[in-house]
Amino acid sequence: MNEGSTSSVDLMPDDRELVTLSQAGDMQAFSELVTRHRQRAYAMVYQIVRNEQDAWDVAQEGFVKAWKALPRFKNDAGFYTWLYRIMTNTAIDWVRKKANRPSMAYEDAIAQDDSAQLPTARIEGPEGAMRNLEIKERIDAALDELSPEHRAVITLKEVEGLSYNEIAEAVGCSIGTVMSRIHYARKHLQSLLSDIYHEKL
Amino acid sequence: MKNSDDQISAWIDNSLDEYAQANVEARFSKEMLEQEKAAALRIGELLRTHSKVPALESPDFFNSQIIEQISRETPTLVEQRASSSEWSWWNPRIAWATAACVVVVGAILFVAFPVADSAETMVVDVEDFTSGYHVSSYTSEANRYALVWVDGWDYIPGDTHIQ
Repeated sequence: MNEGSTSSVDLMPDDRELVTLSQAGDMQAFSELVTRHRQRAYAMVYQIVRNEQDAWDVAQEGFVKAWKALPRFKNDAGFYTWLYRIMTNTAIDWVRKKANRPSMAYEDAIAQDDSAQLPTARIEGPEGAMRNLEIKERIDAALDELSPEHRAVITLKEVEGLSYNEIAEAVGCSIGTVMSRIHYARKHLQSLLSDIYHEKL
Repeated sequence: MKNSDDQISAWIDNSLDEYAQANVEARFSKEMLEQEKAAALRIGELLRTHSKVPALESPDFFNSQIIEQISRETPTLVEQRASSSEWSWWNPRIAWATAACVVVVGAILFVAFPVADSAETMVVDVEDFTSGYHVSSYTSEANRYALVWVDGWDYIPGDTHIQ
């Protein structure tokens, strides 16, 4: 994903060259790497943390961690897969920490209650648009009920389209664990969204 | 592979090897597997359709905050990496400069202190016989002589052949 170039290099260097320059301390090269991968990284983090401002903060934290870990990165591996892993772990850690904070958990509970009431409380305006909004909110609420680990694997599989091997590498677990988490997440979402699911079939 | 349920999800995603895939198809009815697949595909479709991620707002500000945070948190790291980068750039030059200095000094010494008798060649043969004797030999082609020095013998026995 190239949103534009901020690098001083005239010919567009590939990730490997930018990583080498970044490992040597070139901040401009690292900024170029951020530019290339920020939207996908942000999207992936958003799927786990489920909040725009939080996703912004967590994605930034992930990039800073990536910068600090760059000297240990072997440049023969894929940079984005490596970055995925950092982002996923950062997002999962963030959700865990947030869940441990009582005040935040309370806010989440309120938010979940609100979203659960939305489908019946807000039926007005064009029916289709409202129905879509309702479905989105139901899906968001269902995803919120998953653990961050389950949310991460189902998102990486269904939204990002990663293979089981890539997910295992990104999340840092075995393929067996990936299979188990995907199966559990699907079953859980099916049970929570059964009405939508049957309606759409 | 943890259990057969997990294998169903992997079967749906075509992520099993041939043996495991055949195993799943043998254990579960085709109808049941197709139902599971349809349900999984539906959930995937719902997630993709209704889980739109908002675009990252103010992307340039996003970058600048990261760079600012890195500079604030790890200024020494940035300097270290930059300096190590300079050092690695200079390393080959330092090696070549050192080698050149050695060659120049060697040449000066060779010119200033020539070998006293370049025509003389010295060959030293040291042989440790079982008896502990040591033999050394010196030869000078310029003066056409050879000197044999034997340690441990008072004289060279007549039956000893020296080449």
